[in-house]
Amino acid sequence: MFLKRQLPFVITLITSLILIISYFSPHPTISPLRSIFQDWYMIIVAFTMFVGILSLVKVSIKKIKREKGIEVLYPVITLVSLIVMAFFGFLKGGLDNPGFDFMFEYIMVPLQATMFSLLAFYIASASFRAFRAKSTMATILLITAFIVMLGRVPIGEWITGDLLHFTESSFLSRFHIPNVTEWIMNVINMAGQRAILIGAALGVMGTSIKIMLGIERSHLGGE
Amino acid sequence: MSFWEKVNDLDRRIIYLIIGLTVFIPLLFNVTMESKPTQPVENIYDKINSLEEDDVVLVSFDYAASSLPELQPMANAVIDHLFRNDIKVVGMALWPVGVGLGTLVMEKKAAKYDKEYGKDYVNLGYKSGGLVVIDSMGGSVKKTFPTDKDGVALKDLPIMKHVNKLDDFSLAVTLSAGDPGLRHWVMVASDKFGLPVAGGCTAVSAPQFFAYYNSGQLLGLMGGLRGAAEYENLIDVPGTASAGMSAQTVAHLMIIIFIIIGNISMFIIKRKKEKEKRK
Amino acid sequence: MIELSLTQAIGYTIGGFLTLCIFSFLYKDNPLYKFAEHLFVGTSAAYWFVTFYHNIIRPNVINQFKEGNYWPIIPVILGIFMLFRLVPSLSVLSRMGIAFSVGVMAGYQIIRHLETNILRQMGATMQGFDKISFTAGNIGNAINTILILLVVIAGLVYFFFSVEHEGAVGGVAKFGMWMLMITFGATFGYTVMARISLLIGRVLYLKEQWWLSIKYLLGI
Repeated sequence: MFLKRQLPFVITLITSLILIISYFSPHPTISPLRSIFQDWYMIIVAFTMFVGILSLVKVSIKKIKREKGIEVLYPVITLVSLIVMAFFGFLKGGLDNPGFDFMFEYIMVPLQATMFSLLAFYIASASFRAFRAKSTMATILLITAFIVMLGRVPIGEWITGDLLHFTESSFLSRFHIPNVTEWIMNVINMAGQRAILIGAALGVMGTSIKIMLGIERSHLGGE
Repeated sequence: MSFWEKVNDLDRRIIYLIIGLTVFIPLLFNVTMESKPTQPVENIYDKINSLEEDDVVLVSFDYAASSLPELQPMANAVIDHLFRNDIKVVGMALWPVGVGLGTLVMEKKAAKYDKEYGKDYVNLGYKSGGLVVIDSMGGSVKKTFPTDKDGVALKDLPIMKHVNKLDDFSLAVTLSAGDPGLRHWVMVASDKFGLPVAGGCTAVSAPQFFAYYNSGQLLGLMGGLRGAAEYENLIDVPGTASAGMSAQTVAHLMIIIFIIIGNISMFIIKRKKEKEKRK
Repeated sequence: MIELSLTQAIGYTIGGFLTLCIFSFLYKDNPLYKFAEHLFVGTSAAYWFVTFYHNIIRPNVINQFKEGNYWPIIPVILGIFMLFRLVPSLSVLSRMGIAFSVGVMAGYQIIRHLETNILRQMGATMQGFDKISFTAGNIGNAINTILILLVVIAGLVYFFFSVEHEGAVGGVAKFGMWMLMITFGATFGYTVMARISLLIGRVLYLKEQWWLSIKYLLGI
């Protein structure tokens, strides 16, 4: 019980209090503690990544034992690529090892970049099926999105510039698409984002205080 | 099944094909479109121009290959500008993949401007911990990063001779795909240590940073591919961002058309159903 | 025009092939996609492992021990405790490392969010009023300054659920919601821009590097 509840609570309370006090007081005993905590934190966080890798290896081995046919091949590919690339990374040169570099630049980077580029297709499909002006609110959202989408590419400049000559009149230039976009971004969007930032910050602070006082314990499994 | 019902049930693969071609065809013609620079981008350009030779700028590569098409052109443009002005560059990363991506950019530009590793630029590598890393650098860069990414002690690198704390940099430019990233640089480097912070970020996260830009906590901001294209335009070195603007334009139009068609079909089908109900 | 070496040509050809493997998923799930997906997971894990070792464990732990600084032993022990998460009987020990990291984060979050996101943001909203002027040429700025204040207040009222959104409060909250819709619309527009850019990057890769490499390898 002591290891499960009291000790983690005491550790959290003391570390967070020391960091908060160090902000207000440059006391010679507090500042070095802050610096030590920073060093420790960087190292501990690094270990969480090793937890991820170990768990990936564990899951892959389980899959190899369980799956049949071609499906066995996939976890093998994961493990083999992991071992081969890590092997290169521990040879001479480390991160600059030519084998490691090759696998990074020509295998990992294209794969990761392409994986995320699929989102372009999904947003196109969603724009066709999901983005519907079903209410006034949704219509405002879509119209703003249209203006911003046009205003951030050269065609926005062309429509109300070269085509409709809005830029030639001081009154109409206010309605030049890039100018409207800039106004939306710098005034309404900026103020809206500011409200969200302030609201979210209050939420984060509230949660942090609850964590410090042991009221919020979900990070320890909720017990 | 009426025409609009057919449209409404269009196979998603046809939509994929259309958007794929919308991007591919304009790129075939190699049209480079000029992007007029906006003030937040110009601020970064002006700040770098105001720096003196031998000033040291910190560039943090806080992204992975998932945002490569948006942030790598920015990194290329900013590093090109810094090297061209003979400003020293210290690279680092709060995202592990940023180490490798930063190395690709710095080595390419160093070859172009004949810059020497360790003297004109360095890559400190990656540290985990986000804002804790930045705060720790405020105390001592050499304690946070005892070595560069390849294990060479910082005290042995000439470029690091006069760099001890975050304050010793003239500017921090972060290329950020999320957290940890630009937000943390603003929180710690700018607000706590008073270091001017400029940033490039993905278009998804750009709108939220306008609040920091407006308050002066952020010196300048490049948002997405368009932001990169504006910077390329300012330094007059067209790259992939400028090359991509034609496809970006056509694709935006196509998305708008998709939304309009989707909505028309919804209204027509809705009206038809209402009519059938009344009957 | 990019000049290629043989290594680059082979590399880009592989990269282009893997790009197409991933794109094949758009038609339907298939073995080529699965192959690429698992390769991605394996190489990413290896990259992380190697980078964490060379950039954190070696300089900040091993080298420190060599220089006679044994303080990092504490985070290493706490870090090893974290690995016990995978061993059910010992998983309770992982709580120590988690408790410490969460404590550090809580300490940082309270101060940094208060200063950066609350005080400075509120300050910036008010500071515009120092320079406000209704003379000709400045009216636009004056209106914007007032509008920013109104939108920030209305947005916050909208997020404040401890009071019923009725009467005057309801009106302000509704105005806040309208303004937030414009904000979300702007974010949506930017999101479309971002997603399209990602695809542009890959198409440019296929069109430039990959195509050149194939031509190089075929001797065209």
